[in-house]
Amino acid sequence: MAYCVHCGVELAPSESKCPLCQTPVPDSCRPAPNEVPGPYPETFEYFRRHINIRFGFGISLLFILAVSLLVLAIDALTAPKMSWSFYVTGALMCLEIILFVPLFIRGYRPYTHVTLDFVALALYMLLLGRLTGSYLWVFHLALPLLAVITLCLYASFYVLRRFHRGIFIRLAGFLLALIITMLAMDGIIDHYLSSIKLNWSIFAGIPLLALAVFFVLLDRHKRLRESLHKRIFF
Amino acid sequence: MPKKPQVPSWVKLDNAAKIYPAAKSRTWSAVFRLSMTLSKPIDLAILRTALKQTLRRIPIFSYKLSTGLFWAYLDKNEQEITLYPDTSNPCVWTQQRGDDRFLFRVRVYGQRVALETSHVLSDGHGAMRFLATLVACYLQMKEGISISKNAYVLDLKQNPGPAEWQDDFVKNARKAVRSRKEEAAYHIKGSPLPPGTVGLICAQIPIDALKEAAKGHRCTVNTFLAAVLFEALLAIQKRDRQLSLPIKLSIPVNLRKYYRSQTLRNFASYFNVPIWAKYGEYTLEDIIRQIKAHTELETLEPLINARMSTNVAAENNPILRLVPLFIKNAMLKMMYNLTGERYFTLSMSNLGLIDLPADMQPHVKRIDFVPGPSKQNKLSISVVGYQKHLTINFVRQIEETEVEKEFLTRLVKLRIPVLIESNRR
Repeated sequence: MAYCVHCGVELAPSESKCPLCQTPVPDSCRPAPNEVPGPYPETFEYFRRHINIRFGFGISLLFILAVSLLVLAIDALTAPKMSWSFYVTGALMCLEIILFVPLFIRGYRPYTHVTLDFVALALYMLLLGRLTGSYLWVFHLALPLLAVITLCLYASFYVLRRFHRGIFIRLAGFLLALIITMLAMDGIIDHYLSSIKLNWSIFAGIPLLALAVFFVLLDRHKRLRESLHKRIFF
Repeated sequence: MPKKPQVPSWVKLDNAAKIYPAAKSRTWSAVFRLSMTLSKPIDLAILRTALKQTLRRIPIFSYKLSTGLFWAYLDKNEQEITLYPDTSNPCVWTQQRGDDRFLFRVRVYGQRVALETSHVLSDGHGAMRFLATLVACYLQMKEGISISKNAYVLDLKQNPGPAEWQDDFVKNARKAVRSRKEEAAYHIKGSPLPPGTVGLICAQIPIDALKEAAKGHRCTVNTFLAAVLFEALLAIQKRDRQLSLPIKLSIPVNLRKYYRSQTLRNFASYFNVPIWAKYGEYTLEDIIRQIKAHTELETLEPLINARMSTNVAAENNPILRLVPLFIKNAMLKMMYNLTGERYFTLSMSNLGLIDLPADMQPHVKRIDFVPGPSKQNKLSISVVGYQKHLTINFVRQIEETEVEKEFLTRLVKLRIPVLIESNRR
């Protein structure tokens, strides 16, 4: 029989230390605790934390559909000709695709998500064009801007995930993609308004270019990296 | 040929069970455990057969939980029952997709057979009768002996009757209700254990030593244990310097003692015994007097019935009945999270002295009653007596063993021998 010298309780043969105060039980006359089966086996039963994300998508879809139907009904009942409800319904559907469809897709697929977002926004732009009676701004401004931003995101994903170099080179690549995107956006907006005269994108691009160059230098010079690291680590 | 028993294809949840499907979460469900350690290793094939026979005799245990538009209910389950190996973290399983959907599990480890049951199905007394019947059936098949039936062991040859799955809360409730207003209780704090892990300490105490100590203080064993527990909690609360809230012990009451009930489902109530440390120092005698006074008052039949009737009245509220289940569940879950375990520090369930049939006792060495981990409170305690020993199981969800240490060392100081073991070596 072994007792805990602090608590005074008798310890079962399977206990190597007192469960109450963790005091070890040195008793050469006892069999080693691992030779005596414990009151419970060593195996641990894990429970699966199952989160039903698709159920979340279903609920969100039902909610959006309900709100859309309500909006359409109010517009139909209160106005002689339905108008504003299409803007709201279109925006809600767009929101559903951007925010909740990713819940339905298994795994991490950034290209698929971005493509779906582009399609959703493009369709919404087309709807707005139809409702406003003019497609000019849609095809000459909105869709080109969307396309440029989407391409920028594709490039960013590629650079950050697939480009197998150091983190600073990848950040520099991302910044370059951002600069090109801003130049393209500036050009598209200028072309829509009158003629191409790149303006704000140059001012925004210069500091980003400087930062990208700095990242490239950091990647190539280990000493510079260490010098910075020891001054600013946290 | 015996007449086939008329077992319903579905039954409503009893009044106490209704809260649990709403309150459960992905990581918690109200599960407790009873086990019997036999004199020989378990034969799994025979136990499987015994389990099937026991389920034929007590079919309510085979039901699965299903959801309707307004209420959840128990539905017949035609699946095959499986035996499970035991684990180091008992009572933490939750229903998973793809499971056989039984609301209980039978686990085997060496010479021990354990029954883990969801509170949706039954309470401690109902589950004990199932386990005793299962073990009796097993022993009859394994040892070739005949075991007489008693309060715990049901007659396997008898057909199941409606009294065994009846909701006796509804049957015995009356019109008078009681206010549920109470003061919030002090809660034990500690560093949480990793998810899914429980700390279990089992203490075995000779019943004679306890009876002698209780006799010396002119109280019952249960009151004596509760008093020592209060002393331990008061010491911890004093160290914690949080004297404003009372320490409250929740004590379940078996309602089968008050009403002629044969139900195997839930039929228990509870009352909370408070002690306010802010009023001053209490001796053990003071605490015993406090517990006795509260127990004598709260266990009066009219008061117990009023508490039970309050819950039944809530269930029968016409507005609540018409609320769809998914809204009801959200409301009940919120209410449980806010108030369910707020009004007591910890609960101490006592199944009392289990009196198995004389022909079964030589084959059953030990009985354990393990409470499941609470949803919010960090510690639960349960007590059961068998033959010459009382077994107290502490289940905690924190690293610290302050309460167990204070409680058990106080018993040792009162010259009561204590033998302990744990699931974390």
